[in-house]
Amino acid sequence: MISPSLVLQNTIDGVFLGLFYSLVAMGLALIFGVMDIINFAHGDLLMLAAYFVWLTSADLSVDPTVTALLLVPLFFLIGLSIHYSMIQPVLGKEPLIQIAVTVGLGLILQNIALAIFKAEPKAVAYSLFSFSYSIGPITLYASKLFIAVVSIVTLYVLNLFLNRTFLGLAMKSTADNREVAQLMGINAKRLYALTFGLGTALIALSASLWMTFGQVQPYLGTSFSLISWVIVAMGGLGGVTGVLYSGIIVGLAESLGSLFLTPSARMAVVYIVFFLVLWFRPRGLFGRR
Amino acid sequence: MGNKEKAVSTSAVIAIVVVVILVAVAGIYLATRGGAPSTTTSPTTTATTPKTASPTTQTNTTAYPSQIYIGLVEPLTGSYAVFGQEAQQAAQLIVDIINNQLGGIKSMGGAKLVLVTEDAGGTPESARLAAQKLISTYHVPIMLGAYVSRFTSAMAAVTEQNKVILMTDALVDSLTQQGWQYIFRVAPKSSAHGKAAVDFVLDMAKKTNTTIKTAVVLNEDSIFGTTVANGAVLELVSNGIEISSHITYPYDISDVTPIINQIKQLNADILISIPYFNDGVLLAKAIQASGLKFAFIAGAGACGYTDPDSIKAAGNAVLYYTNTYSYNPARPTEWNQKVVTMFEQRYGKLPTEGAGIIFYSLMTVYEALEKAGKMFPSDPLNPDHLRAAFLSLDLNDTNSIAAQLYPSGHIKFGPDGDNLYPQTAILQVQLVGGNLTPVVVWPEAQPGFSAIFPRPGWAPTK
Amino acid sequence: MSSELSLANVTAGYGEFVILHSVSLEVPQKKITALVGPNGAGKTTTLKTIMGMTRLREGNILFEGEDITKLPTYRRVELGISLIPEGRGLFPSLTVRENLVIGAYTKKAREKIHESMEIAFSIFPKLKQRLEQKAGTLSGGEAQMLAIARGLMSRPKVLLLDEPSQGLAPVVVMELFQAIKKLNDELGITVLLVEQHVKESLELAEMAYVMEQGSIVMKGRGSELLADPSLKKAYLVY
Repeated sequence: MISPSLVLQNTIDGVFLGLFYSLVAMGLALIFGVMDIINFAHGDLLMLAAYFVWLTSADLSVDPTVTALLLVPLFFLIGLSIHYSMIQPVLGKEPLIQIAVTVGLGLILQNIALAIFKAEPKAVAYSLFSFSYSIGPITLYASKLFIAVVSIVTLYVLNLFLNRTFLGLAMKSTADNREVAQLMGINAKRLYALTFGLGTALIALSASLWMTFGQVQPYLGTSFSLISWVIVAMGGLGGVTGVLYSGIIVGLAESLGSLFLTPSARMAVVYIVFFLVLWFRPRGLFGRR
Repeated sequence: MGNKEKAVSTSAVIAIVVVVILVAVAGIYLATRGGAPSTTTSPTTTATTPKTASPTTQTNTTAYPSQIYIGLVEPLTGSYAVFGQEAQQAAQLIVDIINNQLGGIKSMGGAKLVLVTEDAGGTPESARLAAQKLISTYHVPIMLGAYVSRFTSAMAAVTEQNKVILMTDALVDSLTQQGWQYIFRVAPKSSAHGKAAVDFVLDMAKKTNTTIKTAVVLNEDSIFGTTVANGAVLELVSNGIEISSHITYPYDISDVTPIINQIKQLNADILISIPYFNDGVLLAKAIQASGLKFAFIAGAGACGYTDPDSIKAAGNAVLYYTNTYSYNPARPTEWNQKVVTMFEQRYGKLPTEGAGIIFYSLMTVYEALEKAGKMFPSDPLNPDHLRAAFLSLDLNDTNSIAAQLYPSGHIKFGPDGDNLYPQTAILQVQLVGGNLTPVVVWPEAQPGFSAIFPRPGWAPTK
Repeated sequence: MSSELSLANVTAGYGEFVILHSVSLEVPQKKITALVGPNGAGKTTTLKTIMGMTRLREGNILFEGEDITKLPTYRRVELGISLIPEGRGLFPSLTVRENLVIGAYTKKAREKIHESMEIAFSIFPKLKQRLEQKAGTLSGGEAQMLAIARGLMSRPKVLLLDEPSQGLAPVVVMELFQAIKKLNDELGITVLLVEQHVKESLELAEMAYVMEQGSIVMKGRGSELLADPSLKKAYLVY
């Protein structure tokens, strides 16, 4: 019943999905790498951004892809705001306090969303990408293709930024060795703020892409946080490349798992793959730490 | 030194500005959308003299009680508030009709009904407590509620224990499979929804000479989705339709394209889909994008596809989709049209499913009370007497108002408490004046409309 | 000799621990100053305190006449003080080139980055061949060269070196000290050198301090201390 073309189809879709997941996880990887703080509210920030997309698209009939142009800089600012008000005060304090703050932020966001929007998932009607190309037995959905392209272009640009600009190198250096980075004349406080802002902006971009085919409900953040953590842990903080490959593996696991088992088991497959990878390579696929 | 301090204050300014913007946006949004639960009035406004009324379960051989308390437990706050509030509005309307137009319960000396309401809240536990409260405060002989199946099972433990008749508007099959004695349901249970969707499709296929041989059944994997799907599957099989595949998925699925890809290969004639809510939106969009074609796509279980939110989110991807509906507001009986008009006049909107279920359920309660008064004049409100009265009912369009409000026009309870003649209406999304609108198309269509079957653009491939 | 950098009665440490007790020292301009002493004496803490990485409780640090005691680390780097930390502190996932580039992070340094690179290569020619290698793969000696070269990229006026000879073979140590002399002579960079190789440091240094248990116990010209008998007995045991 499972034909080779179906396997091929799901493989292609898995790669596309994986590219998207890489983008989602990238913000987390940056923040964790540079600031060494575990941001438990990562997925919930995505949920927040997704609701913004829904609000502007549903009420103002703006296509979600256009909303991204507004949302990304706005969420950069929101990221700065969250950083200065909640994160900076607890940097360097005990991990338990840091965890409490980000978990608390996540819970606040979830409950605000629940109170304002209720529990029913919301989706957005978009017309821009509701078609597909057929190549023989394979269907290429325009929306997925678009998301995959945007994801990989963004990751490529980010990689250039991290390797070719002073600010990017500063982030990489701080991720390697926080103390010594300051000896280079890097203003750590400002760098952290910018990193958090950048991570949050990436989240907003992911949310805009997500809303072209997905739906948002107050607990959307949970599954994204989990997936992001799996990817970051597997990628072993090997920069953009590590996240990219891990993301693709997760996407494939989910897509093929959904095919060979049932869609309900998709997360189980992801976790099994995650477990296996860490079993054989505890430092992650590209581990440095 | 100067640098460091300046950096802090600039960022504090940014932080404050952004937070202010966020609060302002949230405030404007809430103001224009008009939030939700803040307008709930206190639940017990319908009761007149609660504390001093004599308990109505006292047997009274000389005079009938002048008031009979009917309990209502519905979610008035939380995610289901929209439905609960409508149920309350419908209940109040029916109680007023019974008291003012029908003369109360005539077999009990014209006793008037008093509706007492409690908020089911957001958890099974709060629903249970709400039921408990109504029972201890008013000793209600009959209670309605609670729309959400898991709230209702919590409530039922209490009503069953206290021998209070529970007339439920929750649909999951299992509620009447627990061996409870005091639960009744007029509304079509979930498996009946699945069956009705199939009956509709096959009926239309016959009428339009469309050959249907194969079907795909697709459902979200909760108890509700599963029971609806089972009803559909049974009906398909007993009609000789081959089920190419029965696929289940988690309701919060993010990516439905693997499912669509699987289905595409099957070349089935029809799709019966039981979504949870907006997974339906994802499915409709993905089906449209993939170019997948069916003779017909029928939803079941009253969730998704044809409700305003789904239409808004999916746009013309849901055009021609149908779903089952526990109430037919277009049924052309005298009393149905009367009640719909009265509801519209009183509340400024047309009744939806949540109201409709209460219409016929509460009218059935009225019939049972009248019967009990006649069958057991000395102690009509005794739980087992009430129960016997319910079981003795055989209502149709000519002998009752309740049946006129019900899609099948026939209400009679089996020993498990479920209506033996369940039926749903079918809504279809059609283009009306350029707008996507849900329209009743079956069993009786809204005036001026008919079902569009098969889906335009489909041609049999074999 | 005017001092470019000086500590005045500095008491400092980490958290609750006090390591330095009222330490005063002066680092004269364009000279090499040595700070020697046994393990755990507080030499590294001294350098870190100059960079603002410890908890300073009392005292002042002056640089070119300005009080920098309350400045954050990055500001001190911008003003012209650079620390080559103990253990090199290279960024292992960055290449040799990237390590050098990030060394020139400050605004002033960026403007002159190409010039700085050339200077670095003139003092440490071996680095040129390893530009695209990841810094984590360098040998001990090469890593030390890179660490110092990176420090030079910020175009410092004062270079603080924390035990640069640690873990290096004697031959390499010699090369290292020659390089240090060169950058002092040719580039006019003031050097504060913390070392366990007491003899070589004292030979190199104009001024020297001996630190024990967080306090300065001896100070004087390098040649004087070299000749001091008690010092010879305690430290110059090779």
